Amino acid sequence: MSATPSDLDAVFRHRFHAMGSPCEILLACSDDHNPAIVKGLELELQRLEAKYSRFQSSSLLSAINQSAGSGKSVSVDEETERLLDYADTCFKESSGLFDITSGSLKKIWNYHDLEDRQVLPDEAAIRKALEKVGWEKVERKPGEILLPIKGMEIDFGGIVKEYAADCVAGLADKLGAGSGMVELGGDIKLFDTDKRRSWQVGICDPHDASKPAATVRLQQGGLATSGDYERYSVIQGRRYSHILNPLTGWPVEGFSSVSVLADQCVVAGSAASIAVMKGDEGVAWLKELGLPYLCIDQAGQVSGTMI
Amino acid sequence: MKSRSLIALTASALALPGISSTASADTPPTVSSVGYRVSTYEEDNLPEELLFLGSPERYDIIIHQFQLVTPVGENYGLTLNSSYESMSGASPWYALPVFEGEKSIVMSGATIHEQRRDYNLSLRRYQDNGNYAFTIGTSRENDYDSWSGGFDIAHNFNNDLTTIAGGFSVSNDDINPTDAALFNRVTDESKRTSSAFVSVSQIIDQNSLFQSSLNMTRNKGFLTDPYKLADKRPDSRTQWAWSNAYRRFVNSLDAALHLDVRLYNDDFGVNSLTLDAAWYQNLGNNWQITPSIRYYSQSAADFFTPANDFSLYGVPNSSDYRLASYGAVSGGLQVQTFIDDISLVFKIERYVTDADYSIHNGQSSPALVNFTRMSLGVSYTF
Repeated sequence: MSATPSDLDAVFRHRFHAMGSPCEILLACSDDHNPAIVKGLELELQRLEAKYSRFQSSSLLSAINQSAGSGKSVSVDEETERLLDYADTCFKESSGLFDITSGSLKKIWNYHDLEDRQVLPDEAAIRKALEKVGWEKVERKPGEILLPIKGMEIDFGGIVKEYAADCVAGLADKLGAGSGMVELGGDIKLFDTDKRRSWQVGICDPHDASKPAATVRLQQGGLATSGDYERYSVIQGRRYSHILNPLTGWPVEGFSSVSVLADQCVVAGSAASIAVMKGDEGVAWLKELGLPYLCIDQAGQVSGTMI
Repeated sequence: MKSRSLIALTASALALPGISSTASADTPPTVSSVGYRVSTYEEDNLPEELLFLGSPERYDIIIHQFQLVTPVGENYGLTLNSSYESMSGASPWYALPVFEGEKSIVMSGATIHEQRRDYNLSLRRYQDNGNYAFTIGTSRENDYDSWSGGFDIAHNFNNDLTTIAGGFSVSNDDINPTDAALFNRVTDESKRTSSAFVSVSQIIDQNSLFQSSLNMTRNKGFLTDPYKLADKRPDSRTQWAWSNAYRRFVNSLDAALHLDVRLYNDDFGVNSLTLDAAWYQNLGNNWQITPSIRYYSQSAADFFTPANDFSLYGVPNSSDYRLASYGAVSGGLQVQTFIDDISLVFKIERYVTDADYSIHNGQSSPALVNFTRMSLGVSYTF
């Protein structure tokens, strides 16, 4: 992703690393910006990362995952409760394809390993991993969550980073940061945009990083991209996506990349993820939603309503 | 109307504490679509035991409808609707007073063949918190010319969960009945209609929605049916309709329930009640089946007479069965499928009227109509 405001002279640009991705905050201000605002936005991201990172053992998410199979439930706060509700909505709307408990599948599809040895995981291993997958198995009570099976894992991928972009943009509005946008590893949210100001955003071409596949002019909302373009493996001459179908246990075969524009980045993100998971039926899903979208297929062909 | 999945995701996202409740813009159509539908409407023939004179064949109508929806620029959407109707058959001309069991209905002499063409163009602008549209239309028959224009506006607030809307429209109809000299019919009459509505819709939760709207229509001018003998109606009519709709999606069944209630009143003295229920059942593999049922009941107009009284010259009186007290029950079944960018829909509906179905007062007509309607539609998105 690359972005520039289309009709402004000066932009303050702050680059940093968070949530496992390169991040950027852009503020359209020609005069002095307030460094405390940018710091405040970065701190908001750190707060969310500390809470929902799978890799930080002190995170709330790690506490939930470590409790799996212990029979004990973990208390969750309001924000987490609502995120779990959101994940539940995604699960239902995608007929079970978008499942935040798919984590254990990723372990058997350990691509570095598989690529080195040029073998696929065997069916028995996939079946065993699938036993630990299934949002419907998770037990929830108000303020509590219980993962009933040892090894079961929650992964907020496709939700938390996009939600964080919405949070940062919301905070920027509250802090009076003016017009700008936040980009977290390809997911974008604009804030405080007035109608005279638009931002030009380039969507990466997964097959040729040197030029954008499409350029869109945004005035508001969130733009999120889901795809396997940076994450796939070739095993025995065949390309395997790193996006896994929680119903079959196998990598999905669909678009290389799907970008969606919505009012909330989190909605754009889950809409795009579900479109990729749906494979051939992804376009029908996007059309049903009625949100602007852009798809790039495995051959690099670009289609959609944002061209 | 937003997609149900999008409403579910958005409602769920707005419950997240970090998401600021900035109101969002209404989005124009992002793709174009064309649609075509052909419908047949067949009235059952008048029972021979009622027919005194004329043809028992009542109206058969074939309707061809065409629709184009396309985005224009970044903020506009254009909709073009056109339809072509061809009807043939006869309608009740007048009714005779009878004793039990006697024939009473005189149908219009010859079978009528008529065509009607309708065009309707609307340009809608989408903006922050809502949209508005201008609409113009025309309708032409060999004996009838109509022009109409309208404006409507909708405003979203409360995180897009509430929408209020309003609009008005006006139309002018010129009526020039055929064979005027032969049957001593009127010539060069006209009718003006003005209509206004207000509505409010509320998304209750991610699976349900309620809408209520109030519509007022005022007709002025020639409101009489020129093809009926001794038909005379007042030259103004004020109609009120209050419509309520409830939609609920049932996740566990992958189906949606639609319930509608409509109350109507006008100063002809007609009151009516309409109840509608439909069940939209998704079957997977892009198939959907929808059974529906409707109940309708109305009271008779103050000046309705089951049999024409030819002594009432110049005084409002009509034997038109549409102004009689009656009730109707109809049942329908719709099947729809989606194949890539193409949607196919078939619907069949059977409508049965009876004086005894009415819960309203007034006299009924011997000429009540039953009909069967079938339609087949295809639409393509690109």
